[in-house]
Amino acid sequence: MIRIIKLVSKKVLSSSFMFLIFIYITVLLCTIPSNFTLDFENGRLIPSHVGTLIIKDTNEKFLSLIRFDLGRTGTDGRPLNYLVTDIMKNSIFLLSSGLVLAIFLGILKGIFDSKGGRERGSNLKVLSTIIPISLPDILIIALLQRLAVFLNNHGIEIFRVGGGGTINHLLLPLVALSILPASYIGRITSMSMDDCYKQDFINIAIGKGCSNSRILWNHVMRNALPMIIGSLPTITTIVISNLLIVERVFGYPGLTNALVGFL
Amino acid sequence: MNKIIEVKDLVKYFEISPAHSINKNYVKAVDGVSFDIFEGETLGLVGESGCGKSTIGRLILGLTKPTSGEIFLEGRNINSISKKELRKIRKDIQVVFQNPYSALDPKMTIEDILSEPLSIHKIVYKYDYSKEVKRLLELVGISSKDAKKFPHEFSGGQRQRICIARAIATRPKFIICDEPVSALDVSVQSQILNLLDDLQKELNVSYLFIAHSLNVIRHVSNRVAVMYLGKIVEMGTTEEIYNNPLHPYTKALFLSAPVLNPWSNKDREILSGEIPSPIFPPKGCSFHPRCKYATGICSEKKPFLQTIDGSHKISCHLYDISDKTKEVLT
Amino acid sequence: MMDRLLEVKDLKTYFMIGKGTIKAVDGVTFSLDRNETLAIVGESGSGKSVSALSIMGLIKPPGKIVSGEIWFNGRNLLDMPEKDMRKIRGNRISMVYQEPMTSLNPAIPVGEQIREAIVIHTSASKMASKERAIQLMKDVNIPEARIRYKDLPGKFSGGMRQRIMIAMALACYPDILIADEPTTALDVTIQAQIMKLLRTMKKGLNMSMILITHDLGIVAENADRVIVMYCGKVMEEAKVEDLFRNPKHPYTVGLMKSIPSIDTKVAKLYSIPGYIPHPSQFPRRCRFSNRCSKAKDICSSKQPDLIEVKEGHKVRCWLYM
Repeated sequence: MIRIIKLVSKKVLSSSFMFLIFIYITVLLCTIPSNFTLDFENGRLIPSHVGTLIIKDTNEKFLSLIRFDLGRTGTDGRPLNYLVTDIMKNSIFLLSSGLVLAIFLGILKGIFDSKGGRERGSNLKVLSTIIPISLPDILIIALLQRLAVFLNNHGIEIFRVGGGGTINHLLLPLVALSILPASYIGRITSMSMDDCYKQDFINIAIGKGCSNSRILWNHVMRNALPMIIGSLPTITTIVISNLLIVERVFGYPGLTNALVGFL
Repeated sequence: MNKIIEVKDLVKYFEISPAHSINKNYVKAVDGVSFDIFEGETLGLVGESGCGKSTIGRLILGLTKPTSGEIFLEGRNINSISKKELRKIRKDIQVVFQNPYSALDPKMTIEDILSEPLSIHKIVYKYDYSKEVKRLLELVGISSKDAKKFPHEFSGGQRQRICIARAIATRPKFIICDEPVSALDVSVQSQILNLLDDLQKELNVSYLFIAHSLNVIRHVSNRVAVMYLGKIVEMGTTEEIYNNPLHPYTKALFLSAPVLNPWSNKDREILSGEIPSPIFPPKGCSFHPRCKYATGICSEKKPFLQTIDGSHKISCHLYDISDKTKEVLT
Repeated sequence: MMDRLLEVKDLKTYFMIGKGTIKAVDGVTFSLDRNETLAIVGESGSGKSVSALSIMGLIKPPGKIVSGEIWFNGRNLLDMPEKDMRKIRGNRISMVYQEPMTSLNPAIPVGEQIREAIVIHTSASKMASKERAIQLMKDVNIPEARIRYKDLPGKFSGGMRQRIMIAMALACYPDILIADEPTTALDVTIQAQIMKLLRTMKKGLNMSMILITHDLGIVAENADRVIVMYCGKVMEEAKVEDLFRNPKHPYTVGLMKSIPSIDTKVAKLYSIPGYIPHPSQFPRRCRFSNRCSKAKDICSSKQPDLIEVKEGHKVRCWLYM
């Protein structure tokens, strides 16, 4: 247990350090004025703006960022902190609950799909997992929107769009966001489980008298879980890119919407 | 009699660096091995896992380069010649591996598999290939009608025969047999051993026969070398080793082999302990932690191979005749 | 009639592969008494491993136990529902397998895997089962058992892993231990240690053992009775002394002659001529007749039955009928 904590904290520390460096470089690049040039004269490089001034400017901006002062809007001078406190909170909430739901549903679907040690599996089950993966994300989201409209027309008002704050507003984007990663995770789960069932030690476990559920949870999932966790970074990137579409289509007050300028 | 193969002080260390340490560790697979093989004879190499016998086979074949030491084929050092020359020499050294199921390309017919060495080394003219393939198949006891079949259509024993046919296709002077019968059933084993014997007499080819079962080694070998953890601990003619094993490890090997006799003493003394890791071999004599005759010097100094009697050599402090008088314990 | 611990009657296990049927076990009958070691000898394709798996109920599709009875403790194992069978597996009848390198779950500490066998079948507490697992590890001579309890299988050598498997199999003190080629994948000196361990444990626990092997040397040293299988059928059954002193079936004789001797060298090894028939095309005649030096006319047309020619010595051969 302690080993895992050490490993995770090491990773977190190094990632945060990299993140800070990344921010600094970004600020630096943004601070360099657009008419910056480097001239070559008499065998020496002469920059058009003084380097130390630029660095000083960058440091100031960076430190203010650290102090969580994001500056002000160009138009009316409102402090931009609300972007983080209100809006980003919404996005992160949507993202994380979407991922959690996806993992939960995905693993369940994967277990349901898996051949469970038998020779032949059901093609229908596998198809039902593959279809969401193969359809374009926008199509799935559009279909969901159509479904919401349909339900609304018939008086069932569980979904709400165009705003935030209540659970109803969260529901539709959540479902839309989690269908795709759930299918991916389901596919990976069932494939690594099937791989696992073919191994010798499963036979030995049956020979010990293990019940099917014991084999599933103690033996197969123990070996399949590392694979699933290993695929999470890729899936998170996909989900983040889908966030843009989801927020736009359902008018959710999230960060991507704000960045694109729709709030 | 010519010396076909001479191996001098062969050493092969494999470097392994575990992810979380800076210092390098070496798997001391082969740690100073020397022997000769003469024309038409079989040297049996016997030992357990980690002793390095398979690595020696690969070194002689030129599949890996030794860390130090020399290998001579008919007097020529195979590590100091050019790649082009090495390819030409390859036809004189061939190999038969342990697993007949993975040693043959499943996509090639038998005829293709056997024609390949013929064409690479230009053994016969192109239009003579199928005739030569037929001759080779007959030599190993496979019907030539099966030449167009694929490997999976044959049984394990038959596949091993095809591997042997492939090995003799280049008319080599020397064949390395790396556990050729270990994966086969007993009844097939005897057929293959007889075949190897017949071929040796007919083609005057030498064998390095690597195996772990003592009874098989006895049947095929003229001389035997016993290996433990990368070193030869005892070497001699088959009669010398089997009638009078001297090294404690050799004696232990004999005691461990099950006897085909229900009335024999079942509770013989068994060698205890595990085979040490070749990365961290014990200090001094590598066998001393498991040796019941070990004395003080055994944990300090490494013994070396010395001649006891005729061609019987042993590497053990009990038989050290270098300075002091011979001490032989029963 | 002596109370036999296990009785296998006319067991038939077939594998339906594609268009053909592989009759892996084709009418095998044998029994096992208390405290005895029965060796099943055969080469590849003889059906020895499949017989053991059939007893344990570990035959999965496309294999199927087509007919027969396996009587244990007054019940026919083949009629038992799966949940009753699970109570027997690992508990009253246990198995040690051939490949120690792949038989342990690589993600679970070895001590936990031994403990699992105890937890499934008894209601022992966590502490008690852990202590028993450590004691079992000590009994099979794993050094520093308490510390190595939480090591993963990858840290153990082949011989050590086989000992862990044995500890796992013996965890509930079974009545029968089936050992399927337990030493084939191990070095010679380790083989001797493992066989000695099995002998010691069997004696200490008053167990019976079914030893499956192709090595007649191991049979000679460990078995009380032997059955020789060929192409899915029992060809000979005898006490071990009778088998080595006076083997009757031509296949047994041929097998013994084929083994090179460690003591003397012969010019040419005896080898049984011909090849094993393909398992999906077993002929109606005696399955060994195409390779038998003593085959008569009747051998090529009908299969003989297994009959008792001397007390305790049965043969399936027309030479003795």
